[in-house]
Amino acid sequence: MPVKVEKIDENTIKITNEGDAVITYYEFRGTPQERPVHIRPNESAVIKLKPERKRSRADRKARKSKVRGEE
Amino acid sequence: MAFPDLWGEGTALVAIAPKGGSDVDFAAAITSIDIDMGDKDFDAIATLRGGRLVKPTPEDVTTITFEGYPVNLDTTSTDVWQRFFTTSSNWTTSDPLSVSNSRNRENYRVVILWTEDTTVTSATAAVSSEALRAIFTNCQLISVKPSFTDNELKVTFKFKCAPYDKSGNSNITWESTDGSTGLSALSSYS
Repeated sequence: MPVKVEKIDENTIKITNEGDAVITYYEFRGTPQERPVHIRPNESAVIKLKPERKRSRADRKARKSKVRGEE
Repeated sequence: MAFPDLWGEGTALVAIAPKGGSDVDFAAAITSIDIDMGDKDFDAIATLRGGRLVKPTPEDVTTITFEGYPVNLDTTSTDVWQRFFTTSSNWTTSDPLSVSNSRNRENYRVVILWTEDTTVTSATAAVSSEALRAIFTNCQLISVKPSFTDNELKVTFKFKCAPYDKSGNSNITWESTDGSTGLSALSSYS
């Protein structure tokens, strides 16, 4: 098949274009961070499916207090 | 910054994407593009004293016809048969590929870009030099006519596009740049 898709992890795939046409995939598709990735024939690209979640203030606070608790 | 005298050989790119899918560039497999833009006609109604009342007729559908040389049913390549016969959710991807005709219909975005910038590899890409781009959304692939009359399998295929969607939003956009600002990359068709 002209396109080989390998799963790297839950959020990352590697696409290898083995065909003769340029294919455009969209990283972070459907999100504000969406960006096109044009994959030329015989080239490959690693694509993230979803943007990593930004840590909220509450998350950071929880982590901080946990670290303090460990000390 | 100056536009060429005309957009000639080697300047066109064509990207076709099903709704929710990836764009595939067809330029390597097609040899001609014909855009039959829908007319914005009107009727003239004659009045008693020789005047005319202009009655606009709704803008007609646009048809985009391509001639080319698709060679297989692979929808990650320049296939037209699976695209014509069924929807992207039913496309087969494992060899041998097969498709039967069905009543399913898929919407497509067809993007045609003319530019002399050879670093641009897709019609949907950002362009920072002179360029002209046409974007047709919510099209359907309505006709696929293969012929083998000159000892070559040539396919004429047509996309048809209503000028507006149900809500009255435009389905057709043309854009150009002299390169001073450039054209942005298109978002995914979803």
